[in-house]
Amino acid sequence: MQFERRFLLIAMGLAALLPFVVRDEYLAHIGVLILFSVTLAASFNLIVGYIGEFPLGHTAFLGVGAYAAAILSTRAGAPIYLTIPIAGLLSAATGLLIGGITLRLRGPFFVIVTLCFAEVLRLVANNWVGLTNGPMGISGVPTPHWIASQPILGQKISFYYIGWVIAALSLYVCYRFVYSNLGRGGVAVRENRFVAQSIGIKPYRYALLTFVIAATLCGFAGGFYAHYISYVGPEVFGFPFTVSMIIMVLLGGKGTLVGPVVGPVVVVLLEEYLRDFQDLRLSIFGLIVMAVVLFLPAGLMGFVARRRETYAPA
Amino acid sequence: MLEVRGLHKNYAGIAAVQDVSFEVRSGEVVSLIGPNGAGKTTCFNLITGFAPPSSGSVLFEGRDVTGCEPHVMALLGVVRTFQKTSVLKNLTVFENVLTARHRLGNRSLWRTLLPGRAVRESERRLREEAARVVALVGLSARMNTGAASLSCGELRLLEVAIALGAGPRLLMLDEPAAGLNTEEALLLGDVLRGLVGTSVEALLLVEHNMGLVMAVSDRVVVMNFGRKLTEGRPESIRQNAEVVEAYLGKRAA
Repeated sequence: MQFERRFLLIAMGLAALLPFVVRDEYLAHIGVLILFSVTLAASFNLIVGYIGEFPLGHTAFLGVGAYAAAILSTRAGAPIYLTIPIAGLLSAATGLLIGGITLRLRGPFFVIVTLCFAEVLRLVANNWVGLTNGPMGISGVPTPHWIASQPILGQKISFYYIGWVIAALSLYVCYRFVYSNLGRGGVAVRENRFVAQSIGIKPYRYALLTFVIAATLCGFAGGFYAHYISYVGPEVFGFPFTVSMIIMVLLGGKGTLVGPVVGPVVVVLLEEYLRDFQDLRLSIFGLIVMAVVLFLPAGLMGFVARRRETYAPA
Repeated sequence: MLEVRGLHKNYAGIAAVQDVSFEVRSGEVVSLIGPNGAGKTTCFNLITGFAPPSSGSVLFEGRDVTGCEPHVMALLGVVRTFQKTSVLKNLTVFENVLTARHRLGNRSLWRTLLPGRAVRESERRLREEAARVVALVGLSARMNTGAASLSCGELRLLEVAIALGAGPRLLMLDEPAAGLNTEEALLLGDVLRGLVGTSVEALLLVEHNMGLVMAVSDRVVVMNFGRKLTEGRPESIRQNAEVVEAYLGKRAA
């Protein structure tokens, strides 16, 4: 508990100071990607690590958030400080709906049905041209004036700080939730549903609560993505985003709070570094991931920071 | 405090439990015994809502709780353990019991995300109480040990501690002494005897270890082939011809 808390505080503290040292557009862009990924990984990890189910359709919430922000800002001219929170709320509602149905299933059934939901949403985005502009996607999601009026580096750094706030908020929510009475209830469901029930915990309710929290965080990330990339297409519902969430969480260490911070840093940097290898990039990346799964099944941080609460007599 | 009336359970035409009625009064230790397959665990499942009865009713404190969901039964104060050792195996002994106290802690999401003094105080209290429960079953030395590295006997004690942690009024233990050696079973008996009247109001036990059953029970209910054979005080059960026959078979003519 103490370790995870300190690690998160120091990591986010350093991240806040980074732009004062690094004055490079490309590196600032990498930083934004990392913060965006940290939010996604933290959200994904809540379900994988603390409920113990595998939501292969987690991009549903990323997509709903991204489209919500894009549509609100292009059609209604809503400012960024409204679009991102609304994106989160809409994702939460979607999470309540999808989770309410899928969490009655478990294991492989849950995995497949959540995947189906994401796919259905992708098809809707692809075909409901009136709302989503179909396969063309929504381009020109506006950048706020106070950001657009700056030079490129300043713009990147502004987005970096917005991403930082969202990532910090996500990690705070995860930390509070995981180390709480409610979080313990969730862990009990992960560890043994029968024991959980015998001590007064309804597994479905706890799974749904965690699912909705995760969906909300993912929606914030989606809203942020829409404004930063300034384009949203049906591919936000696609499988590649899910794959990178899985890789980041498994690499960092599922069921830990520091894993979703370490995982994205390693993955994003590795992806950029491996660009030199061009066509071989994804193959090499795959081999590295396989090696991690085989030799470090608990992830990079798995062995140092399992969720622990120790008792020492006062 | 617990009353079971005419409980029936059919599984695809097979009657696992037929017309079983018994009662557990406050302050009592009641044991449910019988040969394997007699329907004891099924009875447990029916009472605690893990399976709905085909007919019959379960009353707790005079209230009809037939077919209530398991977590509802736990919230009412009926907490059970399982025949197959069931603990949260990736957590430590302390964490297991702390988790078991869940229903007595803060369960509001709002106050989870923005905890104030009341929540911190409740967490502190939960931790102290959990530690006391661990001490009560004699696992203090293993407080921060992972459940996965406990011995079989310690795991059984941990199960009792988890159930106790949930603050039950009626504690239902399903074969708590299974897999224990004589010495460990005696130790468990000591722990169980000390619970009634202090930590819990009554105890319902399913057990095969007759030494333990005879030592702790106020009353024994005997089942065979899904039916209740008889019930009575431990010493009278020991002499009962029907019970001896159920366990050992008929005497040769």
